[in-house]
Amino acid sequence: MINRRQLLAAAGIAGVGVSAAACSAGGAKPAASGAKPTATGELKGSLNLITPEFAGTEGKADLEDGILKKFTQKNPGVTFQVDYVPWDKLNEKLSTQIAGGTPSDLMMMGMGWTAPFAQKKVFAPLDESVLGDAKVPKLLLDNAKYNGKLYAVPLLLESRPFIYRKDLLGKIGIADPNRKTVDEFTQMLKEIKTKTGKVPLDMLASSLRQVWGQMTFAFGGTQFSDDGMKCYFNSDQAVKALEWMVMLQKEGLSDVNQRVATGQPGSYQKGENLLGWQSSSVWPTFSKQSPELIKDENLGMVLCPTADGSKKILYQGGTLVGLSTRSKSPDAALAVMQYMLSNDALVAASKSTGKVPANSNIAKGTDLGGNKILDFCQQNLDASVTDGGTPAWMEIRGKMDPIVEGAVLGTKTVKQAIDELQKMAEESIARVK
Amino acid sequence: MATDNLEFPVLVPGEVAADTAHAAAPSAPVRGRSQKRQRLVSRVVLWILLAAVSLVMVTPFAWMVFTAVRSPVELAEVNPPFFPRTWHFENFVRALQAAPFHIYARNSFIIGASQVVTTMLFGASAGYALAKLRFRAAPWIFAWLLATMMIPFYAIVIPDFLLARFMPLFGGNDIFGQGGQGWIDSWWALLVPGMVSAFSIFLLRQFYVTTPTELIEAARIDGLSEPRIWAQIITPQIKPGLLTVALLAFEGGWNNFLWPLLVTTSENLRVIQVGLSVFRQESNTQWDLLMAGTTLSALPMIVLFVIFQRYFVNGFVNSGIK
Repeated sequence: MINRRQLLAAAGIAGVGVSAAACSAGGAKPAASGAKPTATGELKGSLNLITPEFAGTEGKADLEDGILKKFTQKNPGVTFQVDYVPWDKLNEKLSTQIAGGTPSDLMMMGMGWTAPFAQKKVFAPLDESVLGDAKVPKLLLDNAKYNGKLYAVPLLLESRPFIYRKDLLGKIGIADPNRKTVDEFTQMLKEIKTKTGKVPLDMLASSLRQVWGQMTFAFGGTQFSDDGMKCYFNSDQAVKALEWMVMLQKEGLSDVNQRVATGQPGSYQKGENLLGWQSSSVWPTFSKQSPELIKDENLGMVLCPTADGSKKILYQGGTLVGLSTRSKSPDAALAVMQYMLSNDALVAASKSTGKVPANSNIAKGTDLGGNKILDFCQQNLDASVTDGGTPAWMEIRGKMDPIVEGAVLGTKTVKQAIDELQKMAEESIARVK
Repeated sequence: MATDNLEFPVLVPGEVAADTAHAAAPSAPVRGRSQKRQRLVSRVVLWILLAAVSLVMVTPFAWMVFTAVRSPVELAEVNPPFFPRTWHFENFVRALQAAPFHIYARNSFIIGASQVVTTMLFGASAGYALAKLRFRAAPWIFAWLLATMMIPFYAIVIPDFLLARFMPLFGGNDIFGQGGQGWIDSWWALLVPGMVSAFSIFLLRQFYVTTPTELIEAARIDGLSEPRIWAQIITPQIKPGLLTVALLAFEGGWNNFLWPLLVTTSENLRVIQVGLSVFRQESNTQWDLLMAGTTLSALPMIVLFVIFQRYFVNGFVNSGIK
């Protein structure tokens, strides 16, 4: 059964292929070794920017009258046409734009989207000098690469630490839920379950694809080879990660069935769990709807432990920006990319969107809007992990959730789910070879 | 339902027609009481059924309005009350301030109104031709139109986009459709693809089929031209159909979301449904503002339906679709 998103994606992929072939016919051609920002000469050009962020009157003002205006004040020859598109329709918009041969000069998109667009030659390769002084975590930078070349710049992140109820955990004698290994973390969850009778962790109610992605890293694995053409869904680490998720569900340590519709208060917010795998963007919602949850005495945050205890990890979704191979003003576009990764622009963007700046150069204590989850994530960017990393990701990611959910809910065994995931991914990758 | 004062009795479900009742009744007083009781029971059952169905239909709309005026704290409650404890009508103002809805509403209205005019004009003329004019290709064209209705929009959105993008001599394009952006980010892309739909042609054809051909023949004998027969003689016979198509065309234009999003980039060309997406962010939905905006955007359609509901329902019944 094919859904309408997959139908459009298939049509889009076909269109993107046609467009990619046509790309050689027009537009500027950034150097094959990677486009570099040039400091000399006055920048000129009209730039189209497509973004899923900064929606609404306030967001538009923050971007166009704030962030971009500072750039145009220094570069009056550059003008912007900004196209605001909601996240759930961004793929459709990009696909049609690309198929029509009119991609925006600068395209903002999600984590894991880089390789598919780079492989279709929609994005131009970038020289790493575009990063300027910004310090972007290596794993996020790797996610923005394809075949070893940088094709996009991570800007804003939606980080997922574990947050916890200090007050409730304190009552059962757990002052700090920080644990060195996954096993110790699991033991603590069992202890909470025994003492309170509650489902301790709000995690499986999130996207299971993302949970599995994070836990694969936690068990020491990765999802794809460096070139993105081999899939490791059936690796020992990925199997252990899925088995851990199944165990959580079976033992009642986390529950898929606590899932709610987008925008509805989740089980952590409703006080049904003591820990939650939550995004930094829940802060505005909590502050309006459940302000007691974000008081210092009630809110704590920890990173996810790994199986061997060697490090901690932090799952990142996020927003990156890529440069179109058809941009008629690549120099101006590159200068904008570099500017948007600067501390000033990122801090302003972070305050506007509530997302974490993907630049660990931003000093501790910088005002990012008072979001403490965001501040915590900003200080732990070095622990970043994320999923994706193959040109076939746009097709694969949409098919993962139901298969993983089947395993977690016990409608299929872990082996069946892993085999199905591996087969599906290999077939998808074969189609983009 | 009061049927007693009507000149012609109207039967409701469960009622027995007078002539049928005569044949089976044992005695007049018993029969009368029994029929009255049966009629009463049928009506009560009918009213209960209709009330229940109405409640099911109205509840989502009521919930939408109540959500629009709830406080953030109430929105987060596990079991919020059906009626809000406090009514925050300022949510409507906040929703309107969150995006330039006056521009979006204007654009949606222009698209809806223009689709009403063009769909009635082209749909009625094509429907009339397929129903009443004899030519060999008519069944094939009709079958082709029906076939196009079976292809989902998502399957043709990219070809449609390419047609708009490479439209010759528009938006800087040369005669071969190259060099510019065609209809993209222009009113042409918003208006032209929705000028007529296969469904409206199909619906109006069904209406034209039911009109008497004798009228057309008489008009021809009287010397009327074919366009005048269509415009002055036959089309006035299918007013319920025209109103149905007009309402559906307006609704299609007013509620259109994906196509306007894909073909526009300028805020001045964005429509109301795209504006509502402002309240749905990646991991955060502002339900109070979203529902306030949705309530406001649904109002025109509700008002139009209330005014024209009789014709609208008749339109579907008479076309044989219902």
